Amino acid sequence: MRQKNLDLLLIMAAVIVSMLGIMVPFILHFMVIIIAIPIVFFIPGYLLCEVMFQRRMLSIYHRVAFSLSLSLAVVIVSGFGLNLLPIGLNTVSWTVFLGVFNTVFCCASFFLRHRAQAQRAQALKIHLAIHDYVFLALAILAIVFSFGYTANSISHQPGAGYTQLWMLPSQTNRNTWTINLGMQSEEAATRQYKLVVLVNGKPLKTWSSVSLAPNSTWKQQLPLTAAKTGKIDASAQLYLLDAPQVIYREVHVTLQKK
Amino acid sequence: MERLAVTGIDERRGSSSPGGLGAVQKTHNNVIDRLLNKLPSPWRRIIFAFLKRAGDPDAENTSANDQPGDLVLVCGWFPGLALSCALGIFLSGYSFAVSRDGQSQAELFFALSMLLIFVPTTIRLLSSAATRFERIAIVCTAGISLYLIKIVASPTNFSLYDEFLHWRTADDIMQTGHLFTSNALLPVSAYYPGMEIVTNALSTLSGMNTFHTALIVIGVARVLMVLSLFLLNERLTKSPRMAGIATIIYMGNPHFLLFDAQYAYESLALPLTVFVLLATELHQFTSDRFDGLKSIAPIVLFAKVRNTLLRGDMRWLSTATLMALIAVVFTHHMTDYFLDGVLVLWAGVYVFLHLRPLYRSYVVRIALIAFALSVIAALQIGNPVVDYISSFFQMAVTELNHVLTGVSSARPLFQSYTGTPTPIWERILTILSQLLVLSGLPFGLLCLWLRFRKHALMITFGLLVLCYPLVQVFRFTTAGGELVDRSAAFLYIPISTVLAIMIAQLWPTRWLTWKHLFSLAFVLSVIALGGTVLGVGPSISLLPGPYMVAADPRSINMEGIQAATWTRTYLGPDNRVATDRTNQILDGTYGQQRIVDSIEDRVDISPIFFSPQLGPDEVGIIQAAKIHFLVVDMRMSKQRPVLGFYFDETEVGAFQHSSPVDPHNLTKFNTVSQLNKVFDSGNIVIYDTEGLVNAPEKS
Repeated sequence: MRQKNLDLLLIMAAVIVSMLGIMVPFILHFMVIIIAIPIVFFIPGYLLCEVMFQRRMLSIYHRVAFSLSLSLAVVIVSGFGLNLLPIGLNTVSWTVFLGVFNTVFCCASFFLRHRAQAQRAQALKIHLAIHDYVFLALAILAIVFSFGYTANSISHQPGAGYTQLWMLPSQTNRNTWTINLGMQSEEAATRQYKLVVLVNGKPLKTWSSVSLAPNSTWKQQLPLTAAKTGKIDASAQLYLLDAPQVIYREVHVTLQKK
Repeated sequence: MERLAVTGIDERRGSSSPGGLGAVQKTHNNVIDRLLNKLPSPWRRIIFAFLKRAGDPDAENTSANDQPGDLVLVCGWFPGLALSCALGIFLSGYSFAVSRDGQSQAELFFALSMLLIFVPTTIRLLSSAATRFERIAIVCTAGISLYLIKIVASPTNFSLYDEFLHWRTADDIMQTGHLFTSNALLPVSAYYPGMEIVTNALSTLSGMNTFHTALIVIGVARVLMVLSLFLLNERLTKSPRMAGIATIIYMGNPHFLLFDAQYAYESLALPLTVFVLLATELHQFTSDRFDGLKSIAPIVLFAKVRNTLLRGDMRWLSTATLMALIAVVFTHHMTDYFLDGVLVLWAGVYVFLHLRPLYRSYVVRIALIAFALSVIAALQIGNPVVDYISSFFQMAVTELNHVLTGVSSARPLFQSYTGTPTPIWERILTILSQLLVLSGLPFGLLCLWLRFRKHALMITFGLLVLCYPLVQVFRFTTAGGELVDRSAAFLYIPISTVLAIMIAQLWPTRWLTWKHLFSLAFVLSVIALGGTVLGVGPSISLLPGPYMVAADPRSINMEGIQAATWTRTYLGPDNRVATDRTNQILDGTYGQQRIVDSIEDRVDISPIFFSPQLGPDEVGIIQAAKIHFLVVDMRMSKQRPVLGFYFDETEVGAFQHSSPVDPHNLTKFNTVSQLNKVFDSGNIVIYDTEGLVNAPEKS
């Protein structure tokens, strides 16, 4: 009997671990992923097949196809059902629904097997020679190596670097604003910059040497007060220190007193 | 010499089915026999031999299949072929790396990688020695290998245009916890959220991000597709060999490598559709057995018990079919409509064959249910599917009409909109592939008629196959070109079956030699490789490389992604943004912005960017569409758009841009004092239009 219902026991174990996963956060993430995949894609359909056909008419290949399709169908249809609930589609609702569904059909399947006392299909064995194992191992290695090689190729892909410059105003009161300045470097190497902020055409503040390493960010805030005209034209010009005559990046905002 | 039966069909065979088909066949055979008897003797002998072979019921004489009692499954060549496929994946990864480095041999390596997957597997599937288990394992491995090639092309982020559209819907569901949230990138996708629901389930349960979840969802869909297709063909042909051949031929359809492997709703709906056909066919088979026992069930106990079991099986098969059907209906509209069409046609053929009274036909019932469900889905409040589909077909048909009447010229083949010609080898391969398929179809249809004409679904497949040559005419239009490519994924289901029947009949296993195997494998590989090149488009579409303007995957780079991410971080989500095609999908997903476009807002924003001045008309568009930010990609001034348009197909000058956008047109915004230039990364500049439109509300 243990061997006869081993599949149902494994399913119940997976369901329990899945439900524990939302309550006990320290369950290993990769374990949660490994269990989530069959819970969504295989188990609901498999249990439905067990209840509906009880291994009577479907070959193992048909059972796999039916399990996958019916699992997808159960998830899609139940998604519409969960959408009607206030809680909607989230971790708790999916875990509870799939947990209850799988448990109910697992019990139903166990009951039907027990009642039918059906002749269990004998386990199929796949015959593999030594060289078959070698081929399969090499195939897995080749695939893993392919992905590693591709990831390495992407990370070392040559490309022009760039620097972002931004200026975002926020009004603090009727006459004053705060200018939020920022730079982010996506250059290939550390670059030296000069940043000049002008207000109504006149330099207000200069950062003569800002060093930014790749993937690093620089931010500053500047308070500005409106002139009698009530209008401020603020701009920021970014220069590379090794090309100080050329404006590398430029942003500008016009602030109007309301 | 016997003057009758030249066709190999005698009247006794032809009239065994009740109803109209028998009478039609009798008349048909007499006409053919009379025609053939008028031919010279050598020709008559050749045709007779051909017809005899085409109708041979013992063409598949394979004894190497798993018997029901077998407990040990023999792997045969499967492990070796798995290694061959893995090497193909590695070689494709190498070709992508070479392409990134800008070297020229990338296409050669890519072609070799495809051949490494197709040729050995095809040879083994054509062979009569492989077992059933081996064939299933081989086709699944080949299908997954082709999917892994697509992943290797872009292993870290989405890269194909449609993927971003569905990513937005998936993210909306994740954030709101509810369905049917408006998606400006593809409004109709919110009403067909089947794939996104599955993604949500796995993502929330596993904690994985949408990208990795999507890879698994589509991977599972791919396995289901291959397995269902194999089992369906096996059910129809009663031959695992023919099923394997049909499945590998299907993998050569233009959309198998990329389009139906991307994170888009068709990628999940199509496998479910094939499953629905499989389940319906199984129901038909069970129903025939049920009918066979019904007459003796009242008097024979065994038959009564069996009858009860079969009735239960039919009920559960109906349930399974209905569940899968509902999943298809709410996953993808076009696939659902294709399924409706197949079921209706199947029901019509079934009724014509008079195999069962109309009211007792399960296929008729399932066709009606499918149609009703499709209508219900289309009538969902706010669902724009009718406009979406009809406008697409209307554009294609109108353009075809213009071409046929001479109003406009036909689209030049093998030339991109930038004028770059397609390499000669790609042209030859593509043309050869299509010619082989089209030339094989008549022979395949003849074999189908001689062997399987009593089978309603087979006849249905035969009729569907006739659509393929007809849709090719749309290749000469701009809008219709996409229609032809999209239809291939559906029409190759029956095409692959028909071609597999042709191969099995004309090269029966008892006379199959290694020369035949290699020749057939070569031909099928040409079909597969040519189909793949046709579907992928110019090699720039798949092979990575330097940035290109409006070239979908080749236009996705870190600067655009980072700019979009910046908008979300510093501007917040859901701002109304106007920008070009590539930045629309980036800002709509990475940036979570509300994109203003012609689909959802019915406004053409291209004049804002194309015009030399920001005049009253352009300001009017900004104000009417309540655009808050303009994202300007300066690279539009450096290259012509590869796809033929920068924004969408309805923009001014679409498919006719003879030069890049004038740089002055893109920098004019700097001189408008009401526009704040808030972001500059060199190629991408963002302007705040609040000063121009008096702070439009966030959407």
